[in-house]
Order: sequence, then structure tokens, then C-alpha cells
Amino acid sequence: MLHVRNLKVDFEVDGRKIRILHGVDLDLEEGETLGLVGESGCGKSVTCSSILRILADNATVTGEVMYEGTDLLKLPASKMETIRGKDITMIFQDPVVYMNPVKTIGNQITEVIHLHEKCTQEEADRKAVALLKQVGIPHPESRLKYYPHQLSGGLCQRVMIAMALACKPKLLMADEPTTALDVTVQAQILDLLRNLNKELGMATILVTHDLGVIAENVKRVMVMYAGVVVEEGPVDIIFKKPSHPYTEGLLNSLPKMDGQEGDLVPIEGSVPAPDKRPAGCCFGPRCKYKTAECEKGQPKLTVINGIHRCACFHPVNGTFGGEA
Amino acid sequence: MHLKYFLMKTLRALLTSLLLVVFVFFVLGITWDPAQSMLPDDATEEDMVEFRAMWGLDKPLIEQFWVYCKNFVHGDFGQSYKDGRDVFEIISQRLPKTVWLMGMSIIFSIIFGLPLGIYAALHRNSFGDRFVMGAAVFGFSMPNFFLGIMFILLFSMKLHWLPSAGSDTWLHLLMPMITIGLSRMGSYARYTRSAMLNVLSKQYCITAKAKGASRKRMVYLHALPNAAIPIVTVIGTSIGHMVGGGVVIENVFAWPGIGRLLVTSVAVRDLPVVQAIVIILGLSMVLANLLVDFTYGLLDPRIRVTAGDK
Ligand SMILES: Nc1ncnc2c1ncn2[C@@H]1O[C@H](COP(=O)(O)OP(=O)(O)OP(=O)(O)O)[C@@H](O)[C@H]1O
Ligand code: SF4
Ligand SMILES: [Mg+2]
Repeated sequence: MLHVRNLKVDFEVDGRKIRILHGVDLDLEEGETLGLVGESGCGKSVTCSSILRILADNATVTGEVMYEGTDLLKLPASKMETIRGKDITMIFQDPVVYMNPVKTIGNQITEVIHLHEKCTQEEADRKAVALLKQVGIPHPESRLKYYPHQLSGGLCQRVMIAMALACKPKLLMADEPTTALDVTVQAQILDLLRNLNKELGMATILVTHDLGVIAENVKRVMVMYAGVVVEEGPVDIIFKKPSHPYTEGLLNSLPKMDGQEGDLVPIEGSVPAPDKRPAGCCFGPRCKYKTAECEKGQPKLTVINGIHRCACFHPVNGTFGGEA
Repeated sequence: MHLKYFLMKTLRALLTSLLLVVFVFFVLGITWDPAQSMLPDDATEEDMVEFRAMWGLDKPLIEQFWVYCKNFVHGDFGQSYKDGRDVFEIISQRLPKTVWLMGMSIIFSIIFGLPLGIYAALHRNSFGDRFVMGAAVFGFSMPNFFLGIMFILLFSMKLHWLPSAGSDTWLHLLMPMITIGLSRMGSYARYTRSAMLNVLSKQYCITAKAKGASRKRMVYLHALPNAAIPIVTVIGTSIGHMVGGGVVIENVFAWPGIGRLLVTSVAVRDLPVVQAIVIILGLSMVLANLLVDFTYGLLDPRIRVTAGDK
């Protein structure tokens, strides 16, 4: 359904172009769930935003975003507007600031309905109430008149989800939908998303830097590092046998999932600034398996096994989950 | 409705007005001896005493104030020392002229300033933006009276297109309106630009886009209502200042409003008239601020409805 090829994004900052995405490939079939992980700044949000073409004006996007046979990057602006909010929708990290403070939530939900469907205000209102009910907001009728500042962060995110579901999208991108919320609320929102995904059968891209969230919510995962996809494959395989040193490092820095004892080992060093990338493999400076070969260039994503792919000259064969 | 907000603002405005009246009365009362300034230089001590008794100036200041306040409430601002006419009557002849000029100037500056500011924000760093902002800085850094005099020189003296004095026709209105309006327009354009830029960088604009809203819709239906909040504040506050600032322009163009009346009354030391005008100018500021607070409350639901109101 969605096939992204060689997606490159440059931002122009102070007259200089800085490359943030270095050729990302992404495939998603109908109803599928995909996780996108990586440390802060690796380009997860930029990837989603460029699929929906909602990046800031200083961005240049190249490559292909094939959605049901059409390249979204080539669509005229007016055509793209009919896809945003209808076929593909997105929810964001901090729901409160992503809602318009001077409009009621009813107004904000019915707007998206009016944008994509012909219906009267009463019909739109009725739909909005049904949506609020669906995302688990109590007393939906009276909430329509509320302003965002009258709701908690968790409720705001539910409203954002309602807005995103309003026109029955085929793809929902959730960009760290719970990072800004309380821990208890986080679990509720993730449950809601998982259930909605099952109920409505829409494809979902879930962005997070929490591997635990990935393990519980998606089937397939893509690991990103410094604007590059370094590993991709089924969650159950990658979490047990990561191939990329970075994925291994991420898993090492996590408490073991079966509760087994083990020292947490954070990855040393930090993500290179976009304008100070190393020559050769982008993970090189932090990689303990680095060899001279790694200086030659950025390794390409290559198949390890079936649909498990990895971008590394020396894939590791670590084993996790106590099966060793 | 958050009634408390509106009540508090009204109360504050009333209190400010009261302080204003007290302040104006006592400062002018202490620093000015009308008997000395109104009577001819060769007036005797008896003439002075008689004059003071006639206007009640021999009583203690506090008692004068009490009388003043009582009359004030009844719309009686006293009589002009100069010709004995009712101050209220004199002012009610002049005030509409001032309100007319100021109102038209404000409308002029809003009609041009806001769209220019929005244009500049939407075309940030383009030639158009730089040009508008350059002109805006020029507009509000140029002293009003200087611009006015230049206009008179050009359009009245040289080209004979427009009358340089008076208020009888639309043509009379044109130059003073544009003179006052240009500087306001410049500052409105700048404020509108920065308010729009600020709001356009907010995440809810991304949400609007992600919903499928067109750029136009995002700008005018999502960004603008938010930008309106600071813009209204600036416009409202400047209205308060405008009435006072118009004094100079009224004199440059011999516009028969209260600004001109103020200058002529100060020249002849007509205390009751000066007092009344200063109070009116002050009240207009208080009123403008109150209006700003009210509009602000209406535009911003975060003030209008608090989390407690269900
Ligand atoms: N409009 C922009 N102009 C310049 N640089 C940008 C812009 N938007 C994003 N970036 C840069 O792109 C890089 C990737 O950002 P992105 O938001 O995709 O990271 P992320 O993986 O989502 O991280 P996080 O977990 O913090 O959300 C960052 O270095 C960021 O500074
Ligand atoms: S290519 Fe080399 S440096 Fe890069 S991750 Fe693999 S081993 Fe490490
Ligand atoms: Mg992000």
C-alpha cells in the first residue's frame, strides 16, 4: 500500500542545506503495524512528516512516496489536501500544543469531517460525538463545547485520535503519541490505538524511542540511526537476534524483558550532529565492531534472513531473551 | 462566561478613572493660580480676592474638589474663565470632531496595516516583505507633525489639491487622517507580521495542514484568530494614545477638535477647560484599555472559560 523509496530530506538552515534523511525505504501493507525506533533526532518524525508532506517550508524532499500507486511527492498541493486527514492521518507527541487553543474540540473534529465529506453540521456533530465515544471520552455530547485547555493531556490525545479517525483513514501515523503523557495514561492510549487498529483494520506506523512499546504494539520494526534505516524486520526476530550493532546496543541498554538479571549497558557516545557525520558508516564512531572496511562508505540494507534486513558490514549475531 | 474577569477589569478601570480625576484636579489646582493668570498684570489684591471668591477658589482645595466631583457627576464641568460658557457645552461641540478624525485614522490604519502585515508574514524575507517593513519603520519613526507639514507644503501650498485647515468636508479629513494613520499603519503592520509569524510556527497549524486544510484555510481560519489576540491589544492600546497624540496634528491642520481647544485654552489659562480636556484624554485611555481587556477576553477562551467552568 505504501512504498517509500530512497527518501531524502534536506533542510536549509542559514543558507546551508543539511541532509537529515539519507535515503529511507519503507514498505507497509494494508492493516499492518510498523514500529519506528531510534534515538532522538534520528529522523523518525521527519520521515512521517515527509510522507504526509507537512514538513516546514525549508525542507526539500526527494525520492518516492508511492501510496496506492501514486507518488505523493509528485501530487499537486490541492490533490495532496484530499489525502491528508482522509487516507493518511497523523497524531503527534504533545497533543495539547497540536490543538488550536481558540477553537472548541467539536469545531476541530467537525472541521476534518467537513473537509472530506459532504454533510450538514448536525450530521458532523453526530459523527464527532460517536468518534469521541469510540476513543473513550466520557460525556461526549457536552465535551464538544470544550476548549483544549479544559482537557487533560490524555483527553487531548484522545481527541486528536478521534480527529485522525474521523474519515476512516487507511494509514495512521502516531508520532510518539504517549511521550508527553503520564505513565498510566500512556498505557491507556496505546491500548486504545492497538484496539482501534484491530477494529478498523487501518495500517499504523508507531514512532517511539521506547523498545518496550514496540514489543507490545507492533509486528514489524524499523530501527533508524542518524537518518538511515539500519535494521528492519519482524519484532520477535530482531528482539532476540539483532543484527545491527546499534540495535544490539539499544537492547543492551534496556532491562531484560523476561526479568532476567543483567547489567544495563548504555551505548557510548552520542548521535552525530547532522552536519558532522562521520565518513563511512554513520554508526562507526560508537561501534565496537568497527573495522577499516567500515570507513569505506555507508553499508546498504541487505537481507540477513527472509524479511530481516540490516545495514552493516559485520552483522552481529547477538542473542537476547535468554535463549542463548 | 468568566464574569469575574470582566468585573475585575471594569472595577480596575473605574478605580483608575477616579485616581485620574483626583490627580488632575490637585496637580492643576496646586500649580496653577487662575486669579494670577487670568487677571491683567495691573490687577490689585482686591481684584484677585474678588475673582477667587467668584469662582470658589478661596475655599480649601479639598472642598473645591468635593464641589467639582459633585458637579462632575452631573455632567457639569464648570464654566470657562474666559467667556463664562459652559465647559460641557464647549467640549461637546469639539469632541465629536476629534472622535471623527481619530476613528477614521484608526480605520484607515487598520484597513492598510493589517493586510500589509499579513502579506509580509506570508512572504517572509521576500522583497515585498522587506519593502513593507522598511516603509513601516519609516512611517512610525517619522514625526507626525513633520509629515503633516510636508503634506501641507506639497498638497495645499504647491499643488492646491487639498485644503490645509478646517474640517468641513471629506477633503479636509484626508490629510490629517493619513498623517495620523501612516504611523499607526506602520506599527500595526509590524505587529501583525510578528504575531502572524509567531502563530504560523505553532504546532496547531501543522495539525490543520495534516487534516487536509488548504494553506489559505490554515492561515485565515487557524492562525489569524490566534494572532488576533495580540493584534487587538496593540490596536486598542494605541487608540488610547492616539486621542492624546492627535493634539499636535489637530493644531497643524487647524482641526477644531479638543486637541486644538486644549492648546488655545492653555494659552489663555482657562483652567476648567484644560482640566476637563486632560481628564477626557485620560479617560479615553482607560476606556481603550478596558475595551482591549474585554475583546481579549472574548477572543481568548483561555480567559473566557477557565478549567473550572463546565
Ligand atoms: N524544519 C527543520 N529545519 C531544520 N532542521 C530540522 C527541521 N525539522 C527537523 N530538523 C532536524 O532533523 C533532525 C531529525 O528530527 P526528527 O524530529 O525527525 O527526530 P526524531 O527522530 O523524531 O527525534 P525525537 O525522538 O526527538 O522526536 C533533527 O536533528 C532536527 O533538528
Ligand atoms: S558497518 Fe561497521 S561501523 Fe557500521 S555498524 Fe557495522 S560494524 Fe559498526
Ligand atoms: Mg520526533
